[in-house]
Amino acid sequence: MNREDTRVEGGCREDPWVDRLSEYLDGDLPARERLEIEAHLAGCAACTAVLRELRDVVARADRMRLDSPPTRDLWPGVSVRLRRPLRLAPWPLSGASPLRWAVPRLAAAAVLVACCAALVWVVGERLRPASTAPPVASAPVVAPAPPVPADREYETTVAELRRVVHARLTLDPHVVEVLEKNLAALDLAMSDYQDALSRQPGDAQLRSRLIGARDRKLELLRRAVALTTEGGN
Amino acid sequence: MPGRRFALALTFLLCAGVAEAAEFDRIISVPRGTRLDVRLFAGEVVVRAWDRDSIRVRATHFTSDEIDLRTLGQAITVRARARRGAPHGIDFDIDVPAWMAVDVAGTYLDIAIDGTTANVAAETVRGDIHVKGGAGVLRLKSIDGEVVLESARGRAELSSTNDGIRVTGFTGELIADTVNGSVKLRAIQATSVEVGTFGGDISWEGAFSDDGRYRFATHTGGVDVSLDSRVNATVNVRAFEGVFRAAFPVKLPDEASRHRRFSFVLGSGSARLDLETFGGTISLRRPQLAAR
Repeated sequence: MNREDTRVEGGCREDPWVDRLSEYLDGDLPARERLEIEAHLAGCAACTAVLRELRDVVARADRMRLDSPPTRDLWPGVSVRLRRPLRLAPWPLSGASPLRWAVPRLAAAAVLVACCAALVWVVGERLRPASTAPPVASAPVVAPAPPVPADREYETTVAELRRVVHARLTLDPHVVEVLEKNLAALDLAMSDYQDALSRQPGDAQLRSRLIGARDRKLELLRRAVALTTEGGN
Repeated sequence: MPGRRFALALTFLLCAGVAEAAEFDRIISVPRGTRLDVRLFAGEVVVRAWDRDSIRVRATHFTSDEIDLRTLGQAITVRARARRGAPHGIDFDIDVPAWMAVDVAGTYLDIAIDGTTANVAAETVRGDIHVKGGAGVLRLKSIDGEVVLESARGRAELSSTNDGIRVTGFTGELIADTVNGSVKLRAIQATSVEVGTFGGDISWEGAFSDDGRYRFATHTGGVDVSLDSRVNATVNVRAFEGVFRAAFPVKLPDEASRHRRFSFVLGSGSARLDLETFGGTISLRRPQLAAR
């Protein structure tokens, strides 16, 4: 054991408690540490402020249920663009690239992802502590607990993108199989994260991982649509 | 080379006995700043750097195929199509000036790029991507194929889905993500590294910069990191339902094993190292003990 060059800290080296607030909020701390952190909170305005913001995020996240309906129906726009007739074909000699062709169809889906990413960023910025503590140690606490995009909208978009990919890859069931295998892996990961979140609803890191997996699934389908082609050849 | 195999099979089935072979060979002088833009359906593209300010494109194809090489603004574009029937796989050999940025994309395409010193972009659905050299922004993406990057520098954004990513001898910033593949990083000197996979393992052999940020995250796989004894890093571990182990002494906080979320500091702690797995094992080793 090299105790000279390894030492343990709670994360933030200026305030060792700030990195434990998320666990405190989750009820994960042992009783002794819970008492200690409560004593610390009584005299530390910065940690109290961070804890208040964390509670706000958790409350907002709880209000935004995973199965909540979309606040605005974006699907008609997506659907119209996605339902053009499809033919398997390589890219043309001239004219716009298929990547460009795919853009209008995926615009609405991209807006969803962009909105979600923006929300993650905004919430993250709001929760960043103003102290001089190195960002290294603060992340586990200040990571945002962003809302998950409305499930119905997301699943409909995924289903349509999937349909497009299947239609375009009729000559290559292998790639379809590969895609499905990887989508299943992402579904499994999402299921694990959701299961864990049901036990620890305030865990910002878990929520971030869940959103990351959802984004990855959408991005995978978008890339498959963009790289396979439609139209004549 | 899965893309090429598929393309050849497809070509054989579609064209056997109905088309003759033809050769395409053309050289174009190019001013500095010109980039190469290749869009093909299937086959193999091999791009090599040479010491001339010109580009040479060679291909063997069926007479029913049409290859189009032209200058469009600041780009040299390469396209191919079948005059009749279904598209074929075509293999291209392209020589370019080392300074030329290269952008290659296709559906069933294996891509190899060797010796360039500029930006590289390569993307395919089914096929391997192998890039040796390159500097600047390097974007390599395959859905069903391996992505390999060697001896490069700059900012690398690497993505596979069903296959692995290997990087050897890279300097700069690195982002690598895959779904079911593993990520193997060797001889890396980077100030910023972000690696993510869901079903694969992550292994790292490289230097940790004192002011660097490194994040390795997997869902069911393991994370294997070799850490020099002189490293200065704050290590944040999140193992969820997984396991943490170190091949050298590390003092863990009380209750660490129960919570599987903890941090510890090595040296001055100036770099940040985030290690995350949901159900796998996070292993820290000394370099000489690292798994090969």
